[in-house]
Amino acid sequence: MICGLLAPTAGRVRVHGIDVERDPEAAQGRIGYLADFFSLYDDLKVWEYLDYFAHAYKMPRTAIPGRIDDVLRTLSLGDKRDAFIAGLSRGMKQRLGIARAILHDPPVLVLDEPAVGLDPKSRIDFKALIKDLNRQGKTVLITSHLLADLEEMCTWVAIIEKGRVVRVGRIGQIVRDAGAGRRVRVKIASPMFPLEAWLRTQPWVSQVAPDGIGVRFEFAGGETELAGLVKALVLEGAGVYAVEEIVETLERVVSRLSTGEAT
Amino acid sequence: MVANPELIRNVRAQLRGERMIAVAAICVVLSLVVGFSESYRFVGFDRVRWGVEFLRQALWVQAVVLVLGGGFAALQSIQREKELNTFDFQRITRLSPWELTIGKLLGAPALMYFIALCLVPAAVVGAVVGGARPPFVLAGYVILILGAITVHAFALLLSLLVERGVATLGAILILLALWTGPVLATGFVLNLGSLSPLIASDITTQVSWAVDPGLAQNDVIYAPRLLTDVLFGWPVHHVYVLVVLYLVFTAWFLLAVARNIKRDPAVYQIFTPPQALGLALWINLIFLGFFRWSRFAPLNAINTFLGLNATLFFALGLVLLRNRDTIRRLRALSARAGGWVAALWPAPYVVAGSIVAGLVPVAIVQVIRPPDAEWDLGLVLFRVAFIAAWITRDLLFLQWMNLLRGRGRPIRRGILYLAVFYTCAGVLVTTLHAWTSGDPVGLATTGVFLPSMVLSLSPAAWAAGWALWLAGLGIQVAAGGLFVRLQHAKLAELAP
Repeated sequence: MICGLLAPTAGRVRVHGIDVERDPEAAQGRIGYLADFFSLYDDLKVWEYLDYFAHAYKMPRTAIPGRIDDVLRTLSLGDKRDAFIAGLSRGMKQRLGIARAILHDPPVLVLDEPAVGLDPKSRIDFKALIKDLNRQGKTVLITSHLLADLEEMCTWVAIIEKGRVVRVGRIGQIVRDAGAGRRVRVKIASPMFPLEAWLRTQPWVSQVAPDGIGVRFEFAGGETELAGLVKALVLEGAGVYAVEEIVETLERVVSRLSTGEAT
Repeated sequence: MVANPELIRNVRAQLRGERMIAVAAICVVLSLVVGFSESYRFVGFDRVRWGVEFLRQALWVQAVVLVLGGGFAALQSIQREKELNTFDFQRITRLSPWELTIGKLLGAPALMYFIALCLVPAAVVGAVVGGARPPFVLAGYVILILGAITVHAFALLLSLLVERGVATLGAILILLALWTGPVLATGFVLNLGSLSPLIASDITTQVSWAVDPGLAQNDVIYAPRLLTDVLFGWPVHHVYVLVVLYLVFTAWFLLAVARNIKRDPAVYQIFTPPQALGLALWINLIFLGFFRWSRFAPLNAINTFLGLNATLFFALGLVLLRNRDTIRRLRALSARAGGWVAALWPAPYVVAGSIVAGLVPVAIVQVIRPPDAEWDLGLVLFRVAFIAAWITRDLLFLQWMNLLRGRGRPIRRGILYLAVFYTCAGVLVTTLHAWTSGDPVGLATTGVFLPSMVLSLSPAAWAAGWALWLAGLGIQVAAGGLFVRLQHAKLAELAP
């Protein structure tokens, strides 16, 4: 809908102040788009492919050759300029798709699963490219299931669950909000010790649940109180061999939202 | 137009140097072989005859390549891009819908144009040796290219609308019918020659632009090599008629493609209601202009037009049907989109169009009919109203079905139900001899279930049972009213 490919049944989308439905071509000129699954024209050469889109986006004719060389260099495809697309590897095709999306220097980029198919080095380069584009003042909207990558690249996130936006905001804030209490995992060596029942009787402790061979719970107290709890557990003879604080990540937040653990 | 990026992309992809050399070499070999075989076709070598036949062969091969080869290329052009997921990237560029449409129209068959170009030297040799007149050779090529473009535009429209698989097969069949059908059909009903671009090969060998006025007076059935059509009683050269028909139909097809090519497929609308009505009336105008009035009894002439318009306006109604998404959007824009007037959709256009298109031939026959011919003005007016009520009733049913929730396209279920209904009605009417018994009640009852039978209603049977038939018309209208009510309820459900 943002790109004007689907007609909204309600509401309006504005890109750079332009109503996508009323003036789609003006809005689309300001958007670079990459789909999650796409093909390229195998019977064209790399430069011809980019030349086609440069003209289709109505870039100034004199600027096109230089711009094509620029994006090919940026995406490390300079040596493939005259190669047929049919002969490119999957990762190269993905990079060529990204090159097409940024070719006309749009202020807004809409990228759907852009890192799929990239090898580790290309993925690192891609993340650096996205950060660089953002530093240049571009808005980059990425939809992805690779949440660890998003956490590295993105500043804001919107989490959609069953078609509805359930969280939106800065990543740090969302992660902090999701983990309101301290989350702790304890593992003990004495299988006979009733760890869950014991924890439920302790102050500051809530949300006790089994977690593999240990038990996980939320702890509302500070470091001193936690130290006291661990000491008491040791004195009870539970055979504590591991206590770890669970660090919240975006991946965990999304996982908890999708399983209904968090609301 | 030459700087159209989509055209350039197609040319680059299809016309690489090696491929062009191979194609040109094949064309040279083909031309030599055909030229050689033509010299042995007749007893005794006659240079002029050889040249004429060689020219005709070259034009015929060019027509096949351009019409069929180019047609299939155009048929794949959008559909294939949709399958590969490259079409969305084109849709979000700044190419205007017309730029994209023209680029595909001329670009998709680029290789076929090149093959045809490679065969031009053979045609030139044939024309020179055979003494063909340059204006007719030129006219032949104009017809060939315009005709091919018309077929390509139609194929492009199909490519935009159809899905792969069975629908593609259907589209190919339509394309074949378009290519061969008019050759077979037009001469018997219309004073109009072949609409196929293949006729270009006949045009190149003509020697005069004169028309044959005897055709208009004697009303002979069209002979393929006579190039005179009869328009409203006036003889007209077929080349001029073809140029106008090709240009106008190409414009209609391209309008439909350009209107939709950058839209969300869920909200495709082939034509606006006035445009669809205009197309239906344009086709009626062609039929009125070239119709062989003197070959048909007055009542049969009216039946021919009613049959044409029943098909035409049913198709027009199908084009105008709204789906759930469209209704939601309309309701979001206007509160009136949920009212009773909206629930009449698409009846106003279908009723108005089919009545107007039905009355015009009635008025013409009323003026030109022989005084002793069988004619009943009341009956033909009733036929016009009955057919209009029939197609409106079925379209209102399909419109209601199209708003039902369900997997896939509910319209397909609606068409299936209609087919089952008419099959069962036909079996029952046949079994009970309702139509053949001659009983006025049986005849009128048959008309309710199988409305097309009104075209077979004789003046005598009409005189005996007109009140019953009017009641039958009332039942049709009431059935339409029921579907309006059902549609109104569905509109209320689809509030934004």
